[in-house]
Amino acid sequence: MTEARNARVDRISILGAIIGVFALAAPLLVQKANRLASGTPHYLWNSNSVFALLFFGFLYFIVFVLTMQRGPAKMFKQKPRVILVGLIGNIVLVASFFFAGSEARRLAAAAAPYARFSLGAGVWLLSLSGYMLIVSAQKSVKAGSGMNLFLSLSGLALFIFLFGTGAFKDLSIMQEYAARKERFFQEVLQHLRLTNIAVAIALLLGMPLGVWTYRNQRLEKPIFAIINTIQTIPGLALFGLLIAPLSLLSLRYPLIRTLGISGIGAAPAIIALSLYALLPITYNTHIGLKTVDAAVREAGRGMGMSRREIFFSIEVPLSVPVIFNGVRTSVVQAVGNTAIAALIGAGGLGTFIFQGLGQAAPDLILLGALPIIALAVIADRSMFVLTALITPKGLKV
Amino acid sequence: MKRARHGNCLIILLLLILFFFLVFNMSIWETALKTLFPQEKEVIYPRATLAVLVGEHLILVSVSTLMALFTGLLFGIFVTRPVGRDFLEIVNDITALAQTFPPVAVLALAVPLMGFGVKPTVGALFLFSILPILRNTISGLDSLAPEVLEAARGMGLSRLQILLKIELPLALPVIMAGIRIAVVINIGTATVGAVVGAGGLGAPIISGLVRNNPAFVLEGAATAAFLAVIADQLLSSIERVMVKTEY
Amino acid sequence: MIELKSITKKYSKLTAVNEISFRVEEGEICVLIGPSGCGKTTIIKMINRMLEPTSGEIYIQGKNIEESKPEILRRNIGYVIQNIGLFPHMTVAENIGVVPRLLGWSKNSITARTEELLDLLGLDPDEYSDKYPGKLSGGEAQRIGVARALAADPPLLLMDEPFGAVDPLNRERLQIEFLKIQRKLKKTVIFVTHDLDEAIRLADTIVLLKEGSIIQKDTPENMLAHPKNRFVKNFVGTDRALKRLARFTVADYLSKAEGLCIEKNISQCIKNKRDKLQNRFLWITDRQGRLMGWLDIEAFLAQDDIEEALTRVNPAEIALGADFTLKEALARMLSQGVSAIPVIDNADRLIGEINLSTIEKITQEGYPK
Repeated sequence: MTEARNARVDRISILGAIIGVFALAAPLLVQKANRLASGTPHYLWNSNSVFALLFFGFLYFIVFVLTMQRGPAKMFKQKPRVILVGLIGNIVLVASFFFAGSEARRLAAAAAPYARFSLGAGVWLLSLSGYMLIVSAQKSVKAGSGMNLFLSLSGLALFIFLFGTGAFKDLSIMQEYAARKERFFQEVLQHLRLTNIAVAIALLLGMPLGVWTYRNQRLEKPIFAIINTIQTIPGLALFGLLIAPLSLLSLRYPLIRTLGISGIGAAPAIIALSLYALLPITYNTHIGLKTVDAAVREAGRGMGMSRREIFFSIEVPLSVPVIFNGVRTSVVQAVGNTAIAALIGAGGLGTFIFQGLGQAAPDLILLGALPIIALAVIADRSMFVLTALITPKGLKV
Repeated sequence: MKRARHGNCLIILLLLILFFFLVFNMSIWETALKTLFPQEKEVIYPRATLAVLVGEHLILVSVSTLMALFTGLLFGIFVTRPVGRDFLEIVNDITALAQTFPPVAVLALAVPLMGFGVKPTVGALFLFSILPILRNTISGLDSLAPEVLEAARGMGLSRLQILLKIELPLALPVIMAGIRIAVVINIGTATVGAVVGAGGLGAPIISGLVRNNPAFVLEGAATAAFLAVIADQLLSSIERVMVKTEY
Repeated sequence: MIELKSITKKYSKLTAVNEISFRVEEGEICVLIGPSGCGKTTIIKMINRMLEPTSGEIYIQGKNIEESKPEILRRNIGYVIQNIGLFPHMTVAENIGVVPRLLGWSKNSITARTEELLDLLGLDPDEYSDKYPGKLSGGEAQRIGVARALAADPPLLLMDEPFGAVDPLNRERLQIEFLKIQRKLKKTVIFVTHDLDEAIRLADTIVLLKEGSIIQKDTPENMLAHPKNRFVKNFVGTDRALKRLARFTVADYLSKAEGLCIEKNISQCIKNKRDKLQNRFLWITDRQGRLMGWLDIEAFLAQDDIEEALTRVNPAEIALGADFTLKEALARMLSQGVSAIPVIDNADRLIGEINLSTIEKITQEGYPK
């Protein structure tokens, strides 16, 4: 572990760079005659943009030099090396899409009007490579520090900027996007709304429940048995199980129907999602409190702190990192489960996935799946940073 | 303690019997669903019996989990050997990252690559269930007391013998926990597999949603939920037995 | 200062503490000792109301403790436990300031008090104030634990095996430091331990417990010299006379030492004193009275050559300070094969000697016929 803390360009970046070099030989784009046809690949090396090949080659050359512990790289200290690798990771991530976008534009000018250019394996491998470089660099930079934030967000910012300039607009996924731009943002918002409401409800229920089961040993087993069982029920099944009672309710009681609650839609989705999000939050709250050192608690009591004081100034601060870890798990899970909610008409990004699957339109599937993965990763990373920020100083080793 | 364990086994046995009884007795479903949803003409999913659906579901789950078990064990053992130690951290990082990818998104991404049907579903389930198995294999093998390994080496066991007779048996409960997590996730994700045409218990749910028939939905959802709960209980009781016989 | 009146604590069937009564006077260290399960920890937890007795009363400074709220009571009683329980999310200074903050002290007085206490415990405030407990060694953490208990200057200190988790070498150092501090602060201390040597070193009074009852309450000297019954005898061990020596310091049994200044006319002095000298050896000091070594009288008289007969020594190696215990003095005599050891003060000046015969006499008191 001590090794990992020393700033050093490590093997992850080497592996990332190797993957990246191989990615240069994979198809950058796949051209299709129309939306549903199968396609022909376009490679980086037989495209006109030899520049791109040189560009990536140069970046990976630098990474390889930086990973060397001997030779010319010795002029640099370890820390700047690590940061440079992280920066290159961000550049690779954005550049892979950028070159794919510009190549698509070039090809589109010459191709038939309904031709489609979707991203090839090369782009995905290059972004994996870039991601690995970033991760490898971030491990050596203090969590929550400005540099760490810069390494995680600079690529994203650049990506959004390029997105705004229309650099990607000839890619098929962007054409799917362009065709339903407004809808896309609505669904992103809906996805976030469903996720956030569900997690908020789970927080409001789960944290007190965690405290309660911690205080009351007898409740621990039955309550966790219930929450655990809920967690094992398949997502789609849980949504399905809620449809029947809710639709019966709304059939029977018009008042409930006027509130917008029925078998399908947002109501069962939110109920199911918050039930799912309950376990990690409750469990981690419980465990966080339980693992507070008994001696610390006894000392607090012996010094004349009241139960309230012990709870708020000892137990809570000491279990905050554990609780936040639970919240992180809940949020990431909820982002994924919300995708399924589209099946019961709750909206969200899952809508595109299932529409895409229904129409056998791969790019539409991507339009749903990729933002969901991005949301999950962003949620995970930002909760990580938040946890690091909120963890009391003395608990960091 | 002993009595509690027996009680547990009995409960699981009863649940299993109840499950099979329900799966093979469609008439019970028919009466129950008819009373619940009198407005529906058809209350039982017509294209396949529950038994077939459960069978399909179990095949999806077991094929993918077995493949993942094989891969996960292999990788897990490799990165905890001196030869593969260098890759331990990379593998740990990648699994941690991949864990944040929602299973449904992975399933969706498998379709453009592998087409529709059973193949992408098994592929996605396989990929996703490697994660918990690999992670638990690593942590199980990596958290063994060094004294035990040293004693084994001191007694003259070969590396292979140490792995087979000491390390794997000791890590088994942890690995088993990984398998349980993988199975439960797979049962869940496999229901969504119906969307890409993989069949299984998701089929009546999807069909019910499409045709606006809550009876179909309930038929599939209740069975899938029951199946997941039983699998979880069964595997966790095996896990508990392992832990108890170990120590 | 504190009085327990027929305290009993029952847990359903088990009686942990049975009808216990004793008093501890102001400024005294009372050590509760006994085999595990004897109820010693239960007793001190009833004093700060971490546990409530089944029956009986406890008075602190004449006041029944049940009259005050437990929290309020505890804020006026220092409490140190074996696992210390420093709050890991607070700095050393914040840890020490917990009770003063609860009592509503001003910020400035808390800071001043923290620095004072760190100084008292021999820790540099500048270095330690802002450290987190995770960065402290075991001994340092234990010192902070004591400082935290002393923070609000409580008259009474409860210590539950405070040095139990520290290694033997550090434990002894902590005990000696604690005694030094106690001499300054004069707190009333109730101290729980299962380590007899610790009890002997620290206690003014030892309360020996077994299965929730007091077997003997006495000064350490008396308990070692006159164990009340077989249980006590077994508990204090067959080497109790030796242990007892740890209760006496060299200073109390100092004999006058025959020392001569090297500047004087030594041969003349010896001849004058010849009849009075019982020993073959004579301590020799320099002009400031600092110990230089010893002189073999016979050899000197035979040759009249002082350099031949004088054995020069490093005083710190051969001599003892006045605050050493007789046990240590005896150990030194046995290891060096001598029957008398010079005793020096801080400036290496000879102030007397300690004789084997004196120690023997005290040992005999410990084994009455």
